[in-house]
Amino acid sequence: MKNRGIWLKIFLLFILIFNFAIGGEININVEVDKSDAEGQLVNMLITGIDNTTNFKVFKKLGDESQWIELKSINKLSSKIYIKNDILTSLKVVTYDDNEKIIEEAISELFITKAQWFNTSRLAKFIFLLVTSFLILFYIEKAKKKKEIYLRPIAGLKAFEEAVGRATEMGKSVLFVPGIMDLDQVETISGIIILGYVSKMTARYETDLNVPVARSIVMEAGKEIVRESYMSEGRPDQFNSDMVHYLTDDQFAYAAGVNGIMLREKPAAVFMQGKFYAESLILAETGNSIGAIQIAGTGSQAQLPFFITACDYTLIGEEFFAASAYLSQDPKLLGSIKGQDMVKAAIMIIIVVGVVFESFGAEFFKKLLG
Amino acid sequence: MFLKRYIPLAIVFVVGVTMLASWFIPHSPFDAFEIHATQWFDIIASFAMILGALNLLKIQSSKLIHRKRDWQYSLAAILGFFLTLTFGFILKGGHFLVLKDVGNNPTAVVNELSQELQIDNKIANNIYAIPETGNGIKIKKQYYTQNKAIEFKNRLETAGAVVEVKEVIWGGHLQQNNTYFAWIFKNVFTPLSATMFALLAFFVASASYRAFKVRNLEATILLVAGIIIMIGRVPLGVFITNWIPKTSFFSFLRLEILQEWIYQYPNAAGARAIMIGIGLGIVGTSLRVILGIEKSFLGEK
Amino acid sequence: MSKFLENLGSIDRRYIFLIIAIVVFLPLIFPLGLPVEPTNLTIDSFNAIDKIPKDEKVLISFDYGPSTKPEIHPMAIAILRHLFTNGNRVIIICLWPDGLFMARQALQQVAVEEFDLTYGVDYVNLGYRPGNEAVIKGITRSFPANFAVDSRAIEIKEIPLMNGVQSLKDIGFIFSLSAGYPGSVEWVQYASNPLKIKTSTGVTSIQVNEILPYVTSGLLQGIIAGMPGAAEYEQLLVNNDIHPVIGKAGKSMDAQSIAHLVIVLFIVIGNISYFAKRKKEKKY
Repeated sequence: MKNRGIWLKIFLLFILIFNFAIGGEININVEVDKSDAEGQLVNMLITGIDNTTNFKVFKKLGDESQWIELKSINKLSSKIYIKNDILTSLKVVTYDDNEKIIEEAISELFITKAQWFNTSRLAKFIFLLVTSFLILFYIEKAKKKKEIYLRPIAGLKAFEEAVGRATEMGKSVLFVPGIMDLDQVETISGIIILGYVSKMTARYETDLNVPVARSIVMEAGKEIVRESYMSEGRPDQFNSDMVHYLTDDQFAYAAGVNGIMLREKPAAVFMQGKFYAESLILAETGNSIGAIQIAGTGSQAQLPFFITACDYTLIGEEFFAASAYLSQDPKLLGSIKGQDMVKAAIMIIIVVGVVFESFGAEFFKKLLG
Repeated sequence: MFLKRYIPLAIVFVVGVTMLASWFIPHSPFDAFEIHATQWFDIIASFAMILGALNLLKIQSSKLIHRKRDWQYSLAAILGFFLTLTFGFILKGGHFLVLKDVGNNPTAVVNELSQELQIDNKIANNIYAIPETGNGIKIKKQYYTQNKAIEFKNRLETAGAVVEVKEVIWGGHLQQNNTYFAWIFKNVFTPLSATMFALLAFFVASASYRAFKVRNLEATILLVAGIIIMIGRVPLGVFITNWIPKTSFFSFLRLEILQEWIYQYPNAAGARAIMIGIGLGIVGTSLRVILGIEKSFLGEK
Repeated sequence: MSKFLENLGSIDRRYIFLIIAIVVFLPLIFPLGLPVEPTNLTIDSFNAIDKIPKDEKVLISFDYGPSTKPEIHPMAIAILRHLFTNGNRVIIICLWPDGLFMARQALQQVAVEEFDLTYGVDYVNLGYRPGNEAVIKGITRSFPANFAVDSRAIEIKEIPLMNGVQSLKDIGFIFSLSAGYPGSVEWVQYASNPLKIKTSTGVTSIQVNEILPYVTSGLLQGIIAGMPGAAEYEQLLVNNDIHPVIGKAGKSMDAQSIAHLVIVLFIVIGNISYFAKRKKEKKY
């Protein structure tokens, strides 16, 4: 009995050593990564081999018969992107130095699905809801004839002064709605402001020139100017060539507008929209002809150039508030008030966040995503 | 009223809300909606370009025909327009040769080729290998005119080669060298664009000279910061304060370190504040447009 | 004297333009050899690129045109030299139509003439696609769907370098050479932030203000800021024995230095005149 026990132990020891010698059983585990909202990420872990072993990883999608090699996978633990909604399996194959297959292992079938809500964007979603609520709340408040105070903005007060100056001098008004297309919110704001300026030019019978850099903006501009002239009772004054296309190219457009400024010498120049590097070229040329210039843009990098070269500049939010300011429509004024409340909330969050960060408490930053 | 007001507002609302939702919902069909919507817009904008081009031609032609003031500029605009159109849609250029066979005297062919373009050993070996491989080689030189290409073809055929003259494919002529379009891009458009951009240097000087006045405390701070950054950003700033050791307590007075601090801290803080304001303005305007509160872009009150 | 000081504030802008032209031109003919000292922003970008593992593919986006070529093209040349010296493989796309020509020129100079690399193996130019940020969003899902062929009309599946590159998720590093829209901001918003891919950028001097918050918040690894930044990067290549001589940006820095100095002098002259006028007004 004693001898049999010893032989059994020796046999088991031999099996253990043998298993170590051949490295153990190879295995491939796949786990769907739930942190990826798009659902395409899986975490792959290969066990039973080490980093020095030659191996390749393959994937098979659905009913395909062929395994496709994933050439970029060279680590035992990797994140892999998989197509959604298809049953997939992964296979690991080990090779010797002569590229002969030693062993292979196939994972269980798995399927990845996109989530219905990207939880990593929850904070932004809440921000959107709060912003929308505040804006709608103050719009409703404004509708109940509550007076809403907006601080005076010199640039917006100067609109009528500028058009009046052009009328007195018998010269035209030049309006530049930026160089980008109607998919930019700043261009939409610029076009809205064009509506108000064209109402003034219709009222005072001043020439209006609107060179644009995009065809869609041309069509939208024509429509808005036509409506303005009709609403002022001057449809005969409207000419569809008032709003005309120059070119899409940034500096060619700047050259074209400069040419118009130098030849026609408008008395008032409005630059309201999205601008890039051509902003200083336009503003300086306008300055050189002695025109009164009112600029407005949300392009933060171009604001210094406009402030330097123009008589009045609508900085950032002032530009977006222009339509509310000029129309004095209670609904629009209410939305500006709502925006201001959101800004106040952001300022409080910044101060609280700075305090928490200064004391090393990172949970607030994590909370905001 | 229904067509002009309610339908556009409904479209704006539905598309706006769907686009917003698609940013939060990664599941199909929302995941691809953002991409598709952007591509739809680009397609519409591309077709709309025809409207712009026609408008440009109409206005410039009218000035030219009626000999209005400065009609010469309109002539230049129209000529430039039609010339580029011709090189884009009618005259390509970009003729090249394909060497199909080297004949009995490949050395003569290689010699002939080396007179026209640079041949290295790799290319020469490929040429010698043609009879074995049976593969033709595209000769890496393009000609504006077919006549020039045929002239070279004849020289190669005299040396015993079999050569075919081909033309760059439509679309490819916008991107490859030695096409008329590439010529206009390189020799007309590029220098003109660079010149317009270079004007900024002059305008910055005249604008700074006129505007940077010490009117009050804020203007003074702005001026001093501006001067530190202007000098500190360039090697001259390094040269001026190079005598301050980098490891000393006063190293922060080195202009390049001072300008970087101003750039990264007070300047970035101010930039962020303006960006937050602009971002809020964009959110507010977008919400007003999507919810139909702002209707003036339709021409409505 | 006081009349002279007052008149100093009304110099005709054409004289200013002439003086600027002269002071920019002269140092190009008679170089001063002013030292270029790399700043932290450029060093961060250099280090980020230096640390890219050899087996990771790098995507460079050429988002600039001829107007900004003097500022950004030297950066492109310097970046390509750095990457190719380190043995990295480069995939190029263009979000600006002009970017394709810029990419061609840069690759011809560096990949072909300097390094004699093999197209399709060491580098590939996938060319321009319209769509602005839609292209970026598209390649976060699938490269072949957005770039079926490269700029030479070769199918993407036949390009060895594109093996295993199904989407942007298979890219190790993004570098955006940006002069506006679309550019660095779009790359951060739609690619590097959502997919957590390391990104750096080179932009025009005007744009630095706009991009800096992304750098300070860690979304971008450093920034090459305008021509001074390009000169600093070229200097770093020299300092680290990657390239023996300074490039075009470094050579232009003398001219830029003197131009900046002259602008400061004009500002000072303008203020002298302003103070003289104020003194006179106070007197009366």
